[in-house]
Amino acid sequence: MKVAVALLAIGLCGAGMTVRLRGGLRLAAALLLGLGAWSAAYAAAILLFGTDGRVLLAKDAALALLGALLLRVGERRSPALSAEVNGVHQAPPPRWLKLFFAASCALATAAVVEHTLRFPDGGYDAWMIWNTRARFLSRAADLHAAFSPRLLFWLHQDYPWLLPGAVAQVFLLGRTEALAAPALLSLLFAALALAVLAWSVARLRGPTWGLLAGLVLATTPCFATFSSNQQSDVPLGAFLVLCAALLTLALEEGRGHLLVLAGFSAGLCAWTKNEGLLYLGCFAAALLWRERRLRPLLLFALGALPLLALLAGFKLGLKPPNDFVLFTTPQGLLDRALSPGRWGELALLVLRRIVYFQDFALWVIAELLLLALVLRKLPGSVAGTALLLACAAYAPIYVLQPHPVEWIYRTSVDRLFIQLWPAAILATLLPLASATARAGATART
Amino acid sequence: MTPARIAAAIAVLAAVGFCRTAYYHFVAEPRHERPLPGPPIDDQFRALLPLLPRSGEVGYVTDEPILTTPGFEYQGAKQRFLQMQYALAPLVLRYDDDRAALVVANVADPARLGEVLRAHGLAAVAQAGPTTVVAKAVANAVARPTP
Repeated sequence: MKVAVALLAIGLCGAGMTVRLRGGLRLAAALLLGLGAWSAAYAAAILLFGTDGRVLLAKDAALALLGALLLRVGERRSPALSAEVNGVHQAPPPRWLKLFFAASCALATAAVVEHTLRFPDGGYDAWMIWNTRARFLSRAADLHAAFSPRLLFWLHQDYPWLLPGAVAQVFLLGRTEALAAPALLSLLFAALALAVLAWSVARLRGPTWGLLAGLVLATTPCFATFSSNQQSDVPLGAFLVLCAALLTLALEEGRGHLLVLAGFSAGLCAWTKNEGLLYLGCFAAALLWRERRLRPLLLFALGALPLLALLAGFKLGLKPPNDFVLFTTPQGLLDRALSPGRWGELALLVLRRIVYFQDFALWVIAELLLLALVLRKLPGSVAGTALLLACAAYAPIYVLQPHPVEWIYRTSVDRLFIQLWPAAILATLLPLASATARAGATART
Repeated sequence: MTPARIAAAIAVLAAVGFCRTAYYHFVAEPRHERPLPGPPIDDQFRALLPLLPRSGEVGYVTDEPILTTPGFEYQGAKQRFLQMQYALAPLVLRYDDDRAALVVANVADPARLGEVLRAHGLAAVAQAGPTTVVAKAVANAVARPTP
């Protein structure tokens, strides 16, 4: 019964929130938002009421009711978005593209399975941080043990726990800690990232562009590896691309309510990893900058508010130690900021990483060439601006953080890449598709 | 710039990524990585589980200092500690605390186990493997001979 109520909570909550969407995008968005809300509600429930099993059942029942209410209210109101692309007939994608996309998805899935079998506990950070936290949450009678300051700081007690919360609930509901549980959840988040990207681009620019977007992500070599690593980076990438897609839909089609949903998705980013809070801030700043109106920003912030409240409750309530604070003094911060060596080292590391074929193949080079030669001449978008802001913000973050630049860069930059990459594909292909459509129309006239 | 040309460029780049993924996972990894299926981390610590409480805190000492400040990519001692923490959660392992009621001594070199116990004033109370014992401070211990 508990499993059924939990599934209802995820399904109804996701369906209720996405009641104005249609087609494949709705399915993917509903699952992603439903899972995120389910995990965030778990955290809120145990922070407020403790870890008793009845609390979790009541939480799932309340979430299912809320979802049903949203569904009912939403269906009575204004009509949903059409599944059509702005009412314009779109040519079906060529057969070779469909086959290539299907083959790439099959290969990526096979690679995830292979890597998972070889590393059943996931990547280094998965067992060091994320799955250890899930075990603490599901096994400990006292929630505080999971964030104890007596744990070595390598367990990063201050990280938000959307993924561990979802894994812990699967452990509790299934009454098993099978290694397959976090592995399958990791694969599901990867599939949803790909589905949201492909369906949202298809919804906005047509199925050919949708398949091209999906093809780019599926053939990015580190996507399959990270999808099997059971870390929070791919889930964060999924929430971020959904936020970018909903924001673009809201602005292009004048659907203000989707801004609230985009804000909620950005809030889930913040509840997935600390970097998510940076992305939320970048999207809010880009929205204000590009739109020059307060209303869209307020709607976006309204959606993010429940997750920001949860994050504040966790950070202020449990006061988990943070390694940045642990190893930082004001003088050290100033010394690092004024150190030309650290800035120079970072610049060199960035240049070298662009050609890191093993993880990125040629995608980063292609993206930078496109940015330099084509995209900078096109009208800017909120998503593109937000992602550029996030990339720019990482420069001072890398220099000011207390650890050796080379070490922290090498161990983190690929994860940052996979967080941003699905949204970057969307932000790149949408203006490119519009530009080619405009060029085609001009040539015809 | 036409949609067909963009699609062709993406297809070429995708073919490169496709080949890289296929090569890495199905040619390079089988040659150079651990065998399939890889051993689960929990297998290493099964013998330790019945010797320790399920929750609370225990000390942890070792023959190789763990890097308690970041800056290095990999260190065996750190990995052993963190893997044990993963396996034993929600028991909290307190690194370098030899005054806890129970202490896990976990070494890289089995020959150094006795030396580590002596250095920390510990006596083994149960052996969990050639490199791991559960110990207590000498005053509290009903000591057994260490290997």
